[in-house]
Amino acid sequence: MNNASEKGNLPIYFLAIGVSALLLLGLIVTMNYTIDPYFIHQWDSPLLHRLSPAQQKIMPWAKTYAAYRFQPEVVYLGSSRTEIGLPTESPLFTGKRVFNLAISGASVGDAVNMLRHTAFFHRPEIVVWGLDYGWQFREKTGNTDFNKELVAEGASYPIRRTFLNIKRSISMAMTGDALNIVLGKSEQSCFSLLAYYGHKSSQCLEVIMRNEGGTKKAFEEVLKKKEPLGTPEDVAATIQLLDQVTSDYCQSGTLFRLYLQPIHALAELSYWATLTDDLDAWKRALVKMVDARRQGGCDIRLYDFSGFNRITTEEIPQTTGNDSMQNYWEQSHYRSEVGLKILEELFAAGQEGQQNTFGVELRGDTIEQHLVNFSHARRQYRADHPKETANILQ
Amino acid sequence: MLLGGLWHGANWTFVIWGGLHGMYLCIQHGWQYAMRNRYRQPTVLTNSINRTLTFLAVMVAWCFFRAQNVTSAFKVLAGMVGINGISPVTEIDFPGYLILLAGTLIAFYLPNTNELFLFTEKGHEMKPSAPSIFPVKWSPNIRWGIAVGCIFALCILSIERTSDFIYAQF
Repeated sequence: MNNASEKGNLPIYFLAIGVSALLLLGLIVTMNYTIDPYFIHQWDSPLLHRLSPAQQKIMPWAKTYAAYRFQPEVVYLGSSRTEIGLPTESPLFTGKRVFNLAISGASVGDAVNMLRHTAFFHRPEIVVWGLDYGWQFREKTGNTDFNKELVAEGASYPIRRTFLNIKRSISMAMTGDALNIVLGKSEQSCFSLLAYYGHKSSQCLEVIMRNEGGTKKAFEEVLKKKEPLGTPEDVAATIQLLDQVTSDYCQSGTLFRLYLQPIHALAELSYWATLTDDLDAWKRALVKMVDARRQGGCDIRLYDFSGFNRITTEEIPQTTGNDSMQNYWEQSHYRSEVGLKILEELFAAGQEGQQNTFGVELRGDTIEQHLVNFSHARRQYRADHPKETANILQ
Repeated sequence: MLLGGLWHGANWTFVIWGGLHGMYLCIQHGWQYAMRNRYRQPTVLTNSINRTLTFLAVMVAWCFFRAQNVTSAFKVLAGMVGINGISPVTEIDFPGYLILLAGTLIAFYLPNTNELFLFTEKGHEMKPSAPSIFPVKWSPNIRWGIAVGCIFALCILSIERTSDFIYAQF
């Protein structure tokens, strides 16, 4: 079978491999970088007005770039609850550059990295930080897209970032999404989060909830018998990290408002069913840290919006017969209206005329009574909702 | 081969993986010895049987290599032979099947490193091609170079994966 068609030239063969691979990669990277389907290097750009899929990918890339360019004065940190719940348009911050830097699945470690990143360019005046009990309360990363290389270090960041953006454009998935945009086949549901300064808009959420089957379906999962979620890996180390980072930025005048997320009462019961003592210990540890920091001159406060209050105990669709809820998208994600109330209470604290609040400020002198009230409200909720809580462990 | 398995990690799954490959080699050498006086030119049929047998044997070994423990590996093997019932695969979409098909063609019909080395060692002459049902034959020329270069570029593109980080419903 040694015919002419089987003969060839190895050097030319390998040269052809190299040249064709480089040309094809160059073409694809240029297309991906120019179209930028995930907005990884967009700010003040007309591309932000392009309609995007409701589920937006690799948001840490987009948000770290936006923070670098926008240099916000007020930042929100936390997980998807904060990203969805806290709108950036609030009369509290009129005239200030506000950005929601919370990211889905973020751990405390991720939020710290995000804070260090944005502070590298401009130290924020105000930090609003949503804290979650459970696996996200840890030092290690929670959002697997939040590459540590995205965090600014040194004066070479703009060049390094450009290189990272180009490197990130070498991706099959991004090529597919870029081609879909070129061919007009891309999902066009809502504007990028960047168009709302990092806040995930109701427009996007409506689409996501429709695709996921709606609020009622989401609550069906909570009503089933389930084991509680995982507890934090290392509370002491994570609180030490929080203490360190708040100390670092307090010294240069940054104001901190920490808050515990108001997940729905049923989720609160289901997620931490047999972990109430651990949850109480976690809150005590947080209060101790915040009190110590405040005594050191830091403007820092901690609020608990979780539990069994007038917002979190909203009746679920299974009870009301409605398709949606006033305060919640689903059991663990609250709406922007709730977020606005949270912001109002965080910044109107101590002012006269404050009525009908749903959060409680946690301090050394109030925590024990708060935990007693919390426990009582938990029992009361169970007693008032025997059907909904029938499958939840005690 | 047992040591080769252990080199990958201190786990019985790796030892079994190495042991299986050692066993396959013993069988292959034993078969060659037994058939030494009865050599016949391979045909499309015998080649297909040989390839299928080798493919299945290697697949079985990979189960042990990839599994967390031996029990998991046997569960996977049980699933593979249909002990838990047979149902259509719904997790793979049409493009996924195309990629699998392309991967299969590459694995079975593009030259492996042995073939490439044989080519250079024999002064730019190919070894006799094995009979194949695939009509196209590889040769180190520009056309094949461009084709392999494009595949190489696609492989590079596949290294970076965009994950949709979705926590809970979001």
